[in-house]
Amino acid sequence: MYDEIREAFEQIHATEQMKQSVSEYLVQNRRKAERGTARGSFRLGLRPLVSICALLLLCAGIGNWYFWEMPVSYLSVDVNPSIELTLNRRNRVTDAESRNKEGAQVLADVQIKGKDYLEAVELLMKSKKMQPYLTRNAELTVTVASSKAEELLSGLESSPVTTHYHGLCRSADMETAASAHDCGMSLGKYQMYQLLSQYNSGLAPEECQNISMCRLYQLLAQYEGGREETVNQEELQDLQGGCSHEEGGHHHHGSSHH
Amino acid sequence: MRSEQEVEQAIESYSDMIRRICLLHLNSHEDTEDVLQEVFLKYVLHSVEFASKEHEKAWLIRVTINACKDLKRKLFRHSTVPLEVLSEEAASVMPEQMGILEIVLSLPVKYKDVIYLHYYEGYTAREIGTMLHKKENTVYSLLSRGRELLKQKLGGGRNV
Repeated sequence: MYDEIREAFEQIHATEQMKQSVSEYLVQNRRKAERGTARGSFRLGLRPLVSICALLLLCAGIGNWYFWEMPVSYLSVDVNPSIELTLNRRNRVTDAESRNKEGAQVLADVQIKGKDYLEAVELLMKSKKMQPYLTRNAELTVTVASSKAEELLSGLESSPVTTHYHGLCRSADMETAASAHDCGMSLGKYQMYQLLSQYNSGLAPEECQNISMCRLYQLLAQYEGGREETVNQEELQDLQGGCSHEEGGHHHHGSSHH
Repeated sequence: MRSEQEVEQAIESYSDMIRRICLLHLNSHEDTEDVLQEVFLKYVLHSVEFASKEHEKAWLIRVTINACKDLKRKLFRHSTVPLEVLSEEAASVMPEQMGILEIVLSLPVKYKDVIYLHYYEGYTAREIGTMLHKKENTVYSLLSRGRELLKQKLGGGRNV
C-alpha cells in the first residue's frame, strides 16, 4: 500500500505549461516587486528623515517664534501722537501700532520693525511728522511694561529720549498693559487716565485717548493742586485741542519715574 | 530578492511537489497555476536564507498548503473529491494508480495532507507536526484514522 500510494503520486507532475506560466508570471511581477521594494526602501528610508525634518522645522518654528516673535515687552511713546511698540526677547521691535491718528501719521513716515528699541524710539523722535509735537512743554513720555523694565528704562535714560528730548521714562506692570490694550489705549495715556480717575475727573478712557500728554499733565497738576470739579464737555473740547506747537524748542522736564 | 537562476532551479525541483499538494486541495488546473504562481512569487520575495534544502522544501510545503486554503476560502470552493482535476490526469496515469489517487483524494481534507506527507514525502509524524503546526500526537491520530479509512476503501485485506 505504501508503495502504491507513492507510485500513484509519482504519476503527478506539474506540466511544462504550468512551469512556463509561473516563469512568465514571475518575470512580470519581479519587475513590479523590484519597483515596489525600491519604493518601499525609499519610503522606509525617507519616513524617519521626513519626521526628523518636520520635528526640526517645528523646533525651528517654535525657536524662531520664541526668539523673534514672542511679545516680551511693550513700549509706548506718547506726546500727542501715541504709538506702542511690541518688543521681542532681544528688545527688537516686532510690531508697531498707532493709538491715534497723529500716531498713524508718524508711523507711516518711519520703518522701525526689526530695529532695536532705542534706535526705533530715536527714529520716531526724528520723524518729520513727530518733530512738530516735540515742543518745550510737549511732555514726551515713554512707558515700558516688561519683566526687564529696569534694563529698558536704563537704556532709555541714557538715550536721546532723555538727554536730548528730555522725555519722561516710566514703567508699568503687564496687567496695566493688558488693561490699556483692552481700552485700545497706549500705556502712557492709560497710566494718566488711572491717575486722573483717582480724582474723579469724570474722564472716560476714550476721552483721554484724544487729549495730548501736555494737557493731561496740566489737568493732573490741577487735581493735585486741589481741583475738585469734573471735566465738563466744553473743557473737554478745549483739552482735546492740544497744546500749542508754536513755542518750539524742547522742554526741560527730563526726569524718570519707575 | 532571489536570483532568477535560483528561482528557475526551485521551479524545476519543487513544481511537481506543489502540483501534488494542490491536487489534495484544489479542483482545477487554473487554481493550481494560481497557487504555483503565488508560492513561487513568495519564494522570490522571501529574502531569508534557508538553512538547508530540507528547510527550503518544508517552507514551500507549508506555504503551498496555506496558499491552497486561502484560495479555497477566497473562491468558496468545496473540498470535495477533485474529479475534474483527476480527469485531466487520466491520460497520463495508469488506471490502478488512478484508483488509489481517487481514494486518497476522497479522504476528508484533514487526513489528506498527513497521508501525502507521510506516505509520499516520507516525513515522520514529528516533522509533519512541525510543518503543519500540529501536535505530534494529533498527527499520529490523523495518520492512524486516515490509514483506517484507506483500508476500508481499498478493501480490508490490504496492509497499509
